[in-house]
Amino acid sequence: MATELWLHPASLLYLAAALIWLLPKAGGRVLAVVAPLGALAALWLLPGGLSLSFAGLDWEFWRADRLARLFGTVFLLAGALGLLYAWPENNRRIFSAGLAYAGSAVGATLAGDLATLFLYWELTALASLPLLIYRHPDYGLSLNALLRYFALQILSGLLLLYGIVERELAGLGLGFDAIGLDSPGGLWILLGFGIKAAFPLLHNWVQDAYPRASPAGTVLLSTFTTKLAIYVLIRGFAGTDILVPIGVVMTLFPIFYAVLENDLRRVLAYSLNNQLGFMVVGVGIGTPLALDGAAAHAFCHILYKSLLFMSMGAVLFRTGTTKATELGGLYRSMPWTARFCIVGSASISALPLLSGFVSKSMIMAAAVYEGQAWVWVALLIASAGVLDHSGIKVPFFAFFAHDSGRRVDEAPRSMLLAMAITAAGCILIGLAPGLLYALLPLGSDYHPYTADHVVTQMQLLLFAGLAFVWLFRSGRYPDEVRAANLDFDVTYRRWIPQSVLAVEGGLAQAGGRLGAQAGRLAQSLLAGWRRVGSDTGALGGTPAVGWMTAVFLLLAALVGGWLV
Amino acid sequence: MSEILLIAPVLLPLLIAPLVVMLGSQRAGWLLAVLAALVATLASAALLPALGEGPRSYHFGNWPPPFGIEYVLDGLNTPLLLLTNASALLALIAATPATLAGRFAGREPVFYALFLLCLSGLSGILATGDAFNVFVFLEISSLCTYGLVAAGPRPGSALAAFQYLILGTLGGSFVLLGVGFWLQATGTLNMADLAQRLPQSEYGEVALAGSVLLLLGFALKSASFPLQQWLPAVYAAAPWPVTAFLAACATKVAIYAMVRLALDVAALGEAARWLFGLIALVGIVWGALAACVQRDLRRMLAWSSVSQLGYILFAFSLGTAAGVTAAMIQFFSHGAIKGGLFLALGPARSFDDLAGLREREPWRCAMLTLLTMGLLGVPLTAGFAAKWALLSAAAQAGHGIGLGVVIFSSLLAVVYCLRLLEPVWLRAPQRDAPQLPRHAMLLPPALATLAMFALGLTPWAASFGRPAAQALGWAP
Repeated sequence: MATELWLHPASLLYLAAALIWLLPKAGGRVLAVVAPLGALAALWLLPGGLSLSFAGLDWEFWRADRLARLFGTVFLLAGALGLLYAWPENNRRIFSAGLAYAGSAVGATLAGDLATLFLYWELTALASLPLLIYRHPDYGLSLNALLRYFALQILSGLLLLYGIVERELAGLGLGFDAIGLDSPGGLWILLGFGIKAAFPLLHNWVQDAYPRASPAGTVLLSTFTTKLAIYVLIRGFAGTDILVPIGVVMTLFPIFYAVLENDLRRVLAYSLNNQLGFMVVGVGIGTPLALDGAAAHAFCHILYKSLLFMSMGAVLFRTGTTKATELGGLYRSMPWTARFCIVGSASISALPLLSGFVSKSMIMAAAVYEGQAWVWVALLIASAGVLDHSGIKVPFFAFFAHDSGRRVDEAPRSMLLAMAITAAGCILIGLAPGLLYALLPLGSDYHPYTADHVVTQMQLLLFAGLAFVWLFRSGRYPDEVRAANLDFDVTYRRWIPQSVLAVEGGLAQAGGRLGAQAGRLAQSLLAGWRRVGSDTGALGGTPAVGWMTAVFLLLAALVGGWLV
Repeated sequence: MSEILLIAPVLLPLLIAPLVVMLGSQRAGWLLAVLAALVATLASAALLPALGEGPRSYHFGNWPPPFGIEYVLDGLNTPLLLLTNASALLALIAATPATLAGRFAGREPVFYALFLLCLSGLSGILATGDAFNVFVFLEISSLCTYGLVAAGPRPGSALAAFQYLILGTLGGSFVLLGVGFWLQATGTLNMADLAQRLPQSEYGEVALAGSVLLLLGFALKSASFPLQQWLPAVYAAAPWPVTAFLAACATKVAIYAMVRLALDVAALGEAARWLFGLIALVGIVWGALAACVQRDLRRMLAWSSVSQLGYILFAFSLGTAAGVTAAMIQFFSHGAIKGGLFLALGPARSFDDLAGLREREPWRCAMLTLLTMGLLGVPLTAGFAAKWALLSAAAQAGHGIGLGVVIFSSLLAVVYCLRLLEPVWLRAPQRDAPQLPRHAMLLPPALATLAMFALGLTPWAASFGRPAAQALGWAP
C-alpha cells in the first residue's frame, strides 16, 4: 500500500510540485515536464486500488477504470505540454502550481468516493489560484477579481459538500457512482458541478479570470477545472434530461459575446463555454455513444483549446497584447505560431481529418439517434458559431487582417515545440480516430468517416446533411480567410436566421441594462457594507464603553421585563 | 496520584504565580512559567485516557458535596482543560522576555504571574463543580486579563483594558447576582445539587431570573451577539502572545460556562437552545460581515473569531450528540487555528506589515498560509473536520437555516482569508516593516500548525463527542 500511496499520480505530482522549489531552475523545468509523464506511466502501469482510513472516513484514492484513465491521461498529457510551454516564463510559481493543479485534477478523476472527490475538488481550486497571479498592465487580476473567482470555486465545493452530507444522512453512503438529480443531495451536487462546468449564469468566472492569467497560466487553467467538471458529470449525472437544454444554451449564448469581444483570449474563453455545452449535451443524452462522445470531445477539446490558447499566449508573450484591434499581420513574424493556430482553429471547427470532427460528430449523431432533432439543429447552429469566432476570427485578426506593423520574433522554441506536439496530436486523432476510440470508457462502435450502418434511413439523411454541412464549410473556409475585410455579420446571417440574432441581441441588451442597474445597486450596497462594517462603523466598530454598557443593561432590562 | 491530577491544572499555575514574582528574574520567571504551563498541560492530558469511565470528582478538604467545594471532571470539561493549558503553553513559549522587549522596565515577572493566574482562573471555571467557585475563578481570570491587555504596546491599550474592565465587571456582577439568586432559590451552590433542586424549587421565578443573569454575564464574556463589540478592541490592544492565548481559549471557556450552567445545571432545555441558536447564527453572520471590511488586521481576525465561536454555540444549540461532537471539534480546531494565526502574525498589526512576507520569512509565510487554509476549512485541516461535523449535525437535526448560514459564512471567510494572504503573497516588501521575533519564535506557531493537521487527519477531537454528550445527558 505504501508504494501505491507514493506512486499515486497525484502524489507524484505533489512531490514534484514541492521539489520545484528546491531544485535549480533549469532542473525544475525539466522536472515539470517529466513528472506528468511519470505520473502517466504510473496511471497505466499500476493497477490502482488505494484505500485509506483517516479522519473517521474511508477514502478510496485510486479507482483506475477506463473513464478515469481516459481523463487522467489527457490531463497529464496536457499538463506536460502546458508546462513545457511555460518554460520561457521560467517561473517557479507557475511550474509548482501547474504540477499541483494537474495532480489535484488527476486525483479527483481517480477518486472512488465523494469524500476523496471533495478533497481534490477543493485542492484543484486552491492550486489554480497561484496561476491567476500575473503582473501585466492590461491583463492581470485585481484582488477583487481573484476573490470573485475563488469565492465561486469555494461555493462549488460547499454545494458539493452539502450534497454529500445529505446523501450520507440519507444512508446512501459516500460512493461516487451515478448520482442523479432525484436522489437526496443530487440537486446540490449538480449545482456544485455546474459552477465548475460553467453552466449558464454560473459561467462568468471563466471569462472573468482565465484571459487575465499569464500565457502559460491560461493554457493550464483552460485544461483542468472545467473538464474535471465534465468528468464528474459523466460519472454522476449521465442521462439527466435537464442537462440537454442546459448544454444547448451553453453552446449558443457565447456566440454573440464571442463575436463582439475584442480580446482574443477572451473570445477563446467564450468558445470554451460553447465547447463545454457540447459535452454537457452528450452527458444529458446519456446513451453510450453520447457519453463516449462527451468523453472523447473533452479529450480532443483539451488538446485543441490548449493549442489555441498557446498560440494566443505566444502572441501575448511577444507583443504584449491579444486585442484584435491592435494585432494583425503577425503571420510574417510568427509563421509557425500562425500555422499551429490554424490547426487548432480547424480542429475546433470540426474540420474533417482533424480531432474536433471525430468527437463532436459522435455527440451530434447520438442526438440524432435519440430522435432529438431540435438538439441537433441547435448544435449545428452552434457549430457554425464556433467556426465563426474561434475558427476564423481568432487566427484572422491575429495573424492576417490589416497589418498592424508589429514585427516581433517567432515564439520561443519551447513554446513552438509544445504547440507542435499538441498540433500533431490534433491531426493524429483526426486521421486515426481509432486510437482515441480504443480508450473510450464504453467502447462505442462508431465510425466518423463512414455512414453508420445502424441508423435508420431518416437518420442517415440527417447525418448526411451534417456531413454536407461540414464539407460545405470546409470548402468555403479558405475563401473567407483570404477575403480582405471579413464581415462577421454576413457570416453570421448566413448561418443563423436573422430573428435568432435579433432576439439574442435584444436579450443581451436588456440583460446589459439590468446588469448595469444591478451593478449600481451592488456597488452602493458594498459601499454601505464597507462603511458600516469598518473599524469605526456600527457593525464592525467598538463604540465607547458607555454605549456597550447601555446595550447590556437594556438587554437585561428587556429580559427582566419579559420575565416579570 | 490520580487525585492530585484532578486539581493540578488549576492549582499548579495558581501556586507558581507568586513564586515567579518572588524569583524576580525575567529569564527564570519565564522558564518557571513555561514549566508550570507544561506540567499543567501534561496533567490535563493525563486525565484524558480515563474519559470514558464517567465523571471523576475531587472533594477539597474531604468535605463531601454539597457542603464542600468539589471539582468535577467529565467528558465536557476535561478536553477543554487540555486545550486551555496547551494554548497557554504555546503563548508563554512565545512570550519570552525578549518578545516583551522592555515594556515592563524590569517587572516582567509580574506579567508572567498574571498570565499564570489567568490560566488558573480559566482552568478553574472549567474544573469546578461549584457555582460560586465559577464566579471566583471568573473574577481571577478577568482581573488578570485586564492587566495583560493593558500591557499591550498600543497607545490605546490601557484605555481598551479599562473599557474591558468596566464591561467585564458588569458581566461578573451579573454572574455573582445569578449565583446569589440560585442560592436563594435552592440553598445550595454545588452544581450537581443545583441541578436536582432547581427544577423543584418553590421559588421557580427566582431560579429562572438567576439563570438569566448568569447567561447574560457569560454571553458578555463569550462575546455572543449582541454583546460582541468589545472583543476586537481587546484583541487589537493586547500584547500578541496574550491575544493568541485569549483567542485560543478564553471566550471558549465562557461558552463552556454558558452551556454548562444553562443546559446542564439549570436544564433550561428547548427555550435556551433556541436562544443559543439564534444568537449564534446572528453572531456568525455579523462577525463574518464585519471581518470582510475591517481595516485592522487583528480586528479582522477578532471578528472572524466572533463568527467561529458562533459555530460552537450553534452546534450546542442543536441539542444532539452529533452537535456536541461538532462543537468539540470546533473548540480544538479554532483554538489551534486562531491561536496559531496570532502566534504566526507576531507583532504584525496592519496588513502593510505583512507585505512581502513570502520573501522576508518563507517559513512564517508557509505557516500563515496553511493556518489560513485551515480557517477556510480546506480538507485535511482541522477546519474542514469541524465544518464537516457541523454541517452533518445541522443536516441531521434538519436545521436548514443553520446550514445556509454556515455555508454563507464560509463564503465570507474566503473574502477575509484572501485579504490576509494578499499582502503576504502579492505585495512587495516594505522598508519599515516591523522586526519580527527571532526564528526561535517559529516553534509555537509551528506546533499549532501541526496540531491543526493532526486534528484534521485523526478523529481524536471527534472522540470527545460522545463523553461530552454523555456529560450533558444527550447521549446514553
